[in-house]
Amino acid sequence: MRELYQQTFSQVHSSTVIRWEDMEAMKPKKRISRNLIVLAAVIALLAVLSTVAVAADWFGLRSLLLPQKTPVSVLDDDGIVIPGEVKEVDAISLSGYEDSAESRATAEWQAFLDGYDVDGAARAADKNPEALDERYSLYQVYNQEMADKLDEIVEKYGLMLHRRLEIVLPGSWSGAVGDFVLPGNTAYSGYIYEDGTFSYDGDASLPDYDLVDYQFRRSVKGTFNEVILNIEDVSQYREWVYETACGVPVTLALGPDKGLILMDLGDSFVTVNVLAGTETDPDDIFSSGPISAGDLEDLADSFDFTVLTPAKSPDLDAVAAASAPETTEDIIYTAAGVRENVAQEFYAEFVQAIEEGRREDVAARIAWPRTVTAPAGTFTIQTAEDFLPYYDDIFTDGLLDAVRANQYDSERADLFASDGMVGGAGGAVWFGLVEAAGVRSLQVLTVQNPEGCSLRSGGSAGVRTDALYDRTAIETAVAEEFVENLMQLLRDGDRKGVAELFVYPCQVQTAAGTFTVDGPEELAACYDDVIATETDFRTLLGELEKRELFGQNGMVGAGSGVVWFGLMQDGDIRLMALQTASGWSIRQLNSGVMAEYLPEEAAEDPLFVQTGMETAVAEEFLPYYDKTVNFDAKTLAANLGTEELFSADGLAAAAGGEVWFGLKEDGDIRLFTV
Amino acid sequence: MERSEFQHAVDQYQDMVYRVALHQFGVPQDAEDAVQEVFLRLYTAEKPFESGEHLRRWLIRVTVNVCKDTLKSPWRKRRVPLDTVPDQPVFDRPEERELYQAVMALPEKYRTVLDLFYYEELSTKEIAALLGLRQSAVTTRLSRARELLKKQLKEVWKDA
Repeated sequence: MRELYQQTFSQVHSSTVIRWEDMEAMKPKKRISRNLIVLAAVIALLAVLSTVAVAADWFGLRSLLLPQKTPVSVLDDDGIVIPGEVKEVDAISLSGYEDSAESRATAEWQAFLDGYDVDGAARAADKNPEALDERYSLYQVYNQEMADKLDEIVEKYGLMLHRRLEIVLPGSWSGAVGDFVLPGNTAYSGYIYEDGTFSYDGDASLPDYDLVDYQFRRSVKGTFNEVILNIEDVSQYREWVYETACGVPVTLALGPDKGLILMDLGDSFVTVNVLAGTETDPDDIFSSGPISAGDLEDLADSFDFTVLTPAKSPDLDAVAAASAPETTEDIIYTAAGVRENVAQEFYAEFVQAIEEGRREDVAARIAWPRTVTAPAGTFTIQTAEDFLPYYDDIFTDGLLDAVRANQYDSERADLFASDGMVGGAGGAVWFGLVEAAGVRSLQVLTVQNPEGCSLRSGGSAGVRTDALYDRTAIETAVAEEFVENLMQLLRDGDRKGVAELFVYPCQVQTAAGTFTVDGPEELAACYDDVIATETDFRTLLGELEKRELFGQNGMVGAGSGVVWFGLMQDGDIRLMALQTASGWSIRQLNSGVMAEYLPEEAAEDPLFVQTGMETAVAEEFLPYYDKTVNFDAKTLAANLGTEELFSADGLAAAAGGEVWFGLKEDGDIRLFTV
Repeated sequence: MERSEFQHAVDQYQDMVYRVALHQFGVPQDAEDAVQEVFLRLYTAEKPFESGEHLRRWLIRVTVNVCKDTLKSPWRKRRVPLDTVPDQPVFDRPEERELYQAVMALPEKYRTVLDLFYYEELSTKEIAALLGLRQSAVTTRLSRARELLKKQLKEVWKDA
C-alpha cells in the first residue's frame, strides 16, 4: 500500500512559482487589518447582546433553575468525597422550564425533602418500607407520610407517577425509542419508563474533537420526575440558540466543566449533559479535553430530535425481552465476553500492523507490562516503547507463517476462545478485554513464536509490582474478588449480605439525618435510605463496574471512592465506607480494627513502598555494585555519591537513572540496567 | 533566512507542501494558495532550523495549520469554485489514477492521515501530535480510511 501510495502521489506536483523576490512584496505589513477592526466591533456587539440576552433570559438556562440552591458534597483533587464538606450549587430541573407544572412539582418536592425529618425521628419510627406500594420505589420515599406528600404534589400539579422502568441495552434504543442517534454517536445502556421518559449514557465522535461523553435525558410531560442536575454556577455559562442539522432549534450552554443541549419539544423536555467544558483537563477520562462552541454544535447535529416527538409509550415487555440475556451461538462471546466480529476486527488490525511493519502500532496493542523471553534473556517490559528493541525477536517470519496458516479465508481468521481470552494463529497469539483507567479494551496478552521467543503475563522477573498490596496489604486479585462479590450482592438486593460486610459501629447519613447503627440488622433496615433511588443504585454499580482500585491510607478505594474497604486485624476484608450519588453514606467509626499493614518506619519510606527495598538497604547495595563492576567506575562512583535514589515501576534508580536495580523474589537485590 | 537556503527549501519541499495541502483541501487551487502562504511564513520565519528534517517537519506542521485556518474561514465557504472539475494529474498507470481519485473522494480527516502516514512516513504518534489528536484516533482514522479505500479499490488493493 505504501509503495503504491508513494508512486501515485509522487506524480502530484505544485504549479505555483515561488520566488524570493515575490516574498518581500507579499509580506504582511504592520497595520491593523480591516478584518480585525470589523471583528473587534462584532465581538463588542456580541458581548452586549449576550449580556442583555442573559439578563432578559432569552436563552433559557436561568428558566430551568430550581428556586433554591442545592447542597452537594465537595470532592478533593482525586474526585473523592471529602467527608462533612458541603457546598451549595445551582441546579436545574430536567423536566422543563420553571413555569411548567413538572418543574414546579420537582421544586416543591426537593424543598420538602430538604426540610423533612431532619432529626431522623420519622425514619426511626417507621422501619417497614416494604409496606409501601411498589411504585414509590422509583422515588425517594421511605414511609407513608412521604408517599402521601408525593401524592399531594402530583395531584396538585395534575401529574402522574411513573409505574414501571426497564433497562435498555446498547443497540436496543432504535426499537425502544427510534433512530434519534446518528452515526458517530453511540447510545449505551440506560433505562426507560412506561411513558417514554428515558435516560442513558453515550459518547460521540465529533469532526474536530475525538470523543466526548454525555448523558441524555428525555422527560415526557405529564409525569413527575424528581431528577435534577448540578450545574455549579449559572453565571459561568455562555448560551445561544442553534438550529440543528435536523432543523430543531436548541439552546446550547457552555461552561468551564460542562456543556448543555436543551430543548422543549412540546410534549417532552430534552437535556443533554455534556461531560466536557471550556476548561476540561485534556487528560479527563470522559472527554478529549476542552470543548468549543463549534464542537457543541456538532454534537447537537449528531442527534435527530425530530424522532423524539411525538413521545410514544414504549412496549416495555419488548424492551425487557431485548435486554434479557440471550442464548448466543457466538462461542467466542460466551467464553471471552467479546463478540466474534469485534474480535475478528481487532485481530485483523493487529495482523495488518505486523505485516506492514508498523512496530509502534503493534506494540501499542499489547497489554503492558509483559514478561518477554528473547535470545538475550527474560525481562519484564513495562511499556510499548521499551519493547521495540525486542520486536524482531518476537514478530518473526515464523510467527507470520503461523498467522497465515490459521485463516478461514481472506476475511476471517480461525479464532477460538478459552479462559476468557481469544486465541489466533493456532494459539500463538492470545488477546482479551483489559481494564485500564476505567476503560475496557481489547489488548494482546500473549505471543509465542515457533522460535521459542514470547511475551506473556507474569508481570515481573522477580520484582513485586502489586502497588495495591504495598499500600494496603490486600493483593489486587483479592481486592477485585471482594468488589465482584459486593457488586453481586448489590444486584441481588441482598441488604443483609451488604450489611454484613461492614465494620461496626457505623455512622449512617440519609435524608432523614445522621445516626449510628451497631450491627448488620440495623444497617439492613436503613439500606434503602442510603441507596435511596434507582439512580443511586445504578451510579454505585456503574462506579464499581469500572473495576478501578487504588490504595490510600491503608484502605482500598473502588470506583471514584464510592466504596472503601480494608484488611481487618482478624484477616478479614470489610467495608469501611460507601457513598451514593444522592450524597447518603455509611462510614465505619472504629478505625482501630484495621490491620497494621506496614511497619511505621517503612510506611514513611517511599522507596520501600515503591520497591520493597528500604532506603538504607538500597544505599548499601550501591557501593558493593561499584566495587564489583568495572564500568566507567570513576564517573559512576562520583555520580552515585551525588545523585539521589528514586524509584519507578518497582525498581530503584541511582546516578540519574544510569543504574536500575530491584528486589528479586529470593530477597536478593540485583542489577537490571546499567 | 538566506536567499539560497530559501530557494533550496522551495525546490526540495514545494511538492510536499502541495501534497499535504491537497490532501486537506481536495481542491488543487486551494492547495496552491496554501503553498504560497506556507512559503511566505518560511520567508518570514526568524528561528534557524537545526536540520533538513527539522525544516521538513516544520513545513508540514505549518501547512496543516494554514489549511485548518482556511477551512474554518467563513470567506472560503462563500467562494464559488471557478472550475467544476478539479485538475487531475496524469498518471503512468490506471491503478495510480484510481487510487488518486479514491483518496480525493474521501473525507478530509481520512485523506490527511493517509498522506502523513503513507507518503510522509510519520508515525501515528507524530501524526497525533501534529493534528492535536489522540494516537488512538489516528489509528482509527487510518483503519477506516483503509476500509473505505478497500471497498473502492478491490483489485488495486489486492495487488498492493
